[in-house]
Amino acid sequence: MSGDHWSTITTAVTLGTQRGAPELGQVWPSSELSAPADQSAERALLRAAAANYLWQLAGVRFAPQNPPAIVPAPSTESRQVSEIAAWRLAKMLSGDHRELVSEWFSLAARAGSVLPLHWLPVALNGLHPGERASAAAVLGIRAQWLAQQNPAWAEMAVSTVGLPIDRWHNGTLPERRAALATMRAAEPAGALTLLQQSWQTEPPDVRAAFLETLLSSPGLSDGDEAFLEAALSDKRKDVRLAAVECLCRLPRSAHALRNIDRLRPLLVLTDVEKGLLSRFKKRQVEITLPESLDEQAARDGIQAKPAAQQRIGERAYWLMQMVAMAPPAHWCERFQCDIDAFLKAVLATDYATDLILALSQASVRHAAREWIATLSMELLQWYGQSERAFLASQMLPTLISAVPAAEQDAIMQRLFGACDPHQFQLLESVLVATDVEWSAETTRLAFALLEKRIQPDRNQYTYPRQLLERWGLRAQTETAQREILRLIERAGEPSPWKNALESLQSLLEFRLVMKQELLT
Amino acid sequence: MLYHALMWSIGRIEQLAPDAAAVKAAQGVAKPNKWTGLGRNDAVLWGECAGSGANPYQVRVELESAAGKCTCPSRKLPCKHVLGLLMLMVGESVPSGSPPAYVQEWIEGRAKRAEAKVSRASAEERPPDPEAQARRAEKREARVEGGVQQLEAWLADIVAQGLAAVRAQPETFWSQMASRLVDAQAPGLARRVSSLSGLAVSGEHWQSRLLAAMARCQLLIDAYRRIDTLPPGLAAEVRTQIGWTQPQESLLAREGVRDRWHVLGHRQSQDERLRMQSTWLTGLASGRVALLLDFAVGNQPLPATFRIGQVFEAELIYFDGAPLLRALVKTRFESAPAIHTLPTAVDVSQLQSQFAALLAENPLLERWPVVLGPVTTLVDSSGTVLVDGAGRRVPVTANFHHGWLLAALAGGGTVSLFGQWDGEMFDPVSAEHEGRLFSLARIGELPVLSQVA
Repeated sequence: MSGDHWSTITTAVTLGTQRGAPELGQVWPSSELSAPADQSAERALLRAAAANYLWQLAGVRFAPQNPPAIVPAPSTESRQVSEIAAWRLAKMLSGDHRELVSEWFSLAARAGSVLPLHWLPVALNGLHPGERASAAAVLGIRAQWLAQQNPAWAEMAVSTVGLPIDRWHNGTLPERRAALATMRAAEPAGALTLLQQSWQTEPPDVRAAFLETLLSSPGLSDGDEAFLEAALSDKRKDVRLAAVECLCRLPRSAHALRNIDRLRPLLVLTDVEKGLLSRFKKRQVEITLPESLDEQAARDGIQAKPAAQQRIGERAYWLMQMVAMAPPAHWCERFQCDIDAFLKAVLATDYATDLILALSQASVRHAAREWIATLSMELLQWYGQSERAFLASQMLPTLISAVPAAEQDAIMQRLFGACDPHQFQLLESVLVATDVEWSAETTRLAFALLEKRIQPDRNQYTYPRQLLERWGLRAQTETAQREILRLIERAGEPSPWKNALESLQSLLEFRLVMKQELLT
Repeated sequence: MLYHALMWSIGRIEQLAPDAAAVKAAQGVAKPNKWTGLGRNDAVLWGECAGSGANPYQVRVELESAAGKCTCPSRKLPCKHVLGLLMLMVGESVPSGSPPAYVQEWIEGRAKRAEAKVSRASAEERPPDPEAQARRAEKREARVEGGVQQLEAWLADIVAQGLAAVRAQPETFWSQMASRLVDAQAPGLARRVSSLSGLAVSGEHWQSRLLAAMARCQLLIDAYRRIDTLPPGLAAEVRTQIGWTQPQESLLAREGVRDRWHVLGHRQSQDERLRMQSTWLTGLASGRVALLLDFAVGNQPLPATFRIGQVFEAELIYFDGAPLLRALVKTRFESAPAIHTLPTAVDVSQLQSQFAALLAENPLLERWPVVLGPVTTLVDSSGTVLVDGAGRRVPVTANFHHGWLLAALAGGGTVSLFGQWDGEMFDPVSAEHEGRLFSLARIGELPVLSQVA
């Protein structure tokens, strides 16, 4: 409301007529209107207010202004996610099975669908910043258009718009790391040159972060050696350790050769003996612990003291670090043996546990697939052993996640096939470690294992519901759906197992319906 | 799928549920392996669900009216079994069939009861004691008169003290006056007074808003005093706004307006105890608008009879008022294919002229349903503004949260909106974009645009 009369009345009424009233004849919108003389000032003011209010409400017309200039959204040819699937996403974003949001997006991306325009704000508001990049394909180019309209979604646009080189020079640290990774994938040497240009002026945390980026993105090669070798003399320990991690992975580097030289006298597999009894004599690993740690070894990343909780002597600790850096293939080459023979000899030593862990670490660093497959079977044996079970439960997930998704499944199938029910409990950690959906066969084996476990546990509830739910996130839905019905029947009537299995079932059902909505 | 079954969706079932827990429970029940004897035909859906009792619960639902019955002891209405059964149907896990005996009995029972109700309503009503009734009516008039006098004195007192002084008053200052008006059997006035307390603390320009609302109270009081001199429609409107209700039985005896009615919008709102459902219709032949209201107390379900876009032939009876808006369905005939567009829209200038004309008919008019468009949606930190083709701008209501959704939907183009106009702000209820119809819905607290299928 505006207008002179209106503001006169508002002022008078706000202060109160006890403090004085305006000239009542002057407050009506038109001279034809006025109040009867016999009324009180209060009523007259209210009536005049009503008249003015209606006068304006009925009489005011908005004036045209310049029309807004809005760039139209880019059109899209892509197939759109169905209304019902989008509705499910919105419910998930507001808390119903929030953990399945990333699966929803990867399914939608697999179907080549994009989210309809009117659902985009829901997704942009509901996604965590970290999830937005992986959802980008489903959000489509129109999400970037929308982000240009709303400053609150601007970060959506920044991370994907523009050239990597611009983001490298002007971006925040996460953006610069992403730009570096992109540039490394396209042109490793050029990206390294760029990195070297600003290297001296970057703060230590940033230097360490960039080395981690070199490590985690494709493009690491012998061409980087000189730069990394120089970084071994960095003032900051984090940077030096990150450089060591990179150099470890370059088997032809001077760093790697120095390490092998150091190891040469320390770990030896005895030769095959000639003669009649040779077939009964096994080859043995002979271990000599290093006497001291020289300056060069320390510079190459060998730590002098183990962490307080690690139960290992200093000298053994030095040796294990060296083993963990060397490519596992080195042993087979040097001693002309296969993996099994070498491991068998290693297991016969006093340092079996530490050596297996060190070899596992080396296999992870060098992505040695055959070694990982063999070592994971060895680690499975540790699960029944109380003192080594914990170590195995920490190493096995790391091992498995170091191979490509397709091979992870093969390893898990072998593990599941060999596992007996009392090893089951620790195998769970492995299931949780992989973030890809299991194959049908793996799912079937996993449920077969679960079935064996249910029998002896009829009265005992040892598996928390959340754990089964995490199974539910990985299992292949169609297979799991079939298996679970049998298990529920087996679980018996008044059983806590049954409750857990039923909630697993409803999770699987949710995933199945979600899949159907997106893929059909 | 059969026609009535098509009108159902998970969203609509959730709307029907008394609370979120019931939806969750229903999802647990909505599994085919928990059911036996599932079936449906064009009108009814049934099945038996194993529960904790010895016998399975017999569940049946009438599809058109969403009325259901279940033999379980739950006091929630509808119970999880009824909701679960509907979910199964939406999931297409219910085969067609012919109803078993228990369903048949229920259908017949319902038909009989409905007949009895109609015959009760249409039977010539002879008041049990006309004198007593007249006495009661007189007593109420006297009470209302007392309430009106109190209110008028109270308003004048506020003006004398000044709005600045009463702004510091506690909430009870307003609620006590409201309860006095409830005691005086003038609930309409009581509602107006309750809403004043919010305006007193409504931020910038609160004085202006509070004064306008008080001035409208005074206008209503003045109109009530002169009710005998008003045209009959406006007089009825004044009585309604004071708080008299119009008995539906006598309304139903009248002749109604028969037309094909198109559902334009749908909204549920809630105050402390009462849940209210508004459904706006427009007549395809007459072009008239109508508003159907349903109320529910506590956990009672609201009928889920209508869906946006739906078209049905029906005879509607308008409540007395000026201009005519609120209505009742007297008889509903067959449904027609849904229409997923909004009727012809007005621009901002027409919107204002039209509202001025309506104010001339009824100066107490608070809002009016209308289709506005085509408009561009502009959203910024201060709120959402709608801009028509001529560049005239109108703001939307302050508590509107669908602004970005509409802007995204339009994709830089325009939309048409059905909503309510109060002379100052537009309150959108549903939207149309390129032949697709959307309702401005919510999932919990999350605003969404839901396309009407």
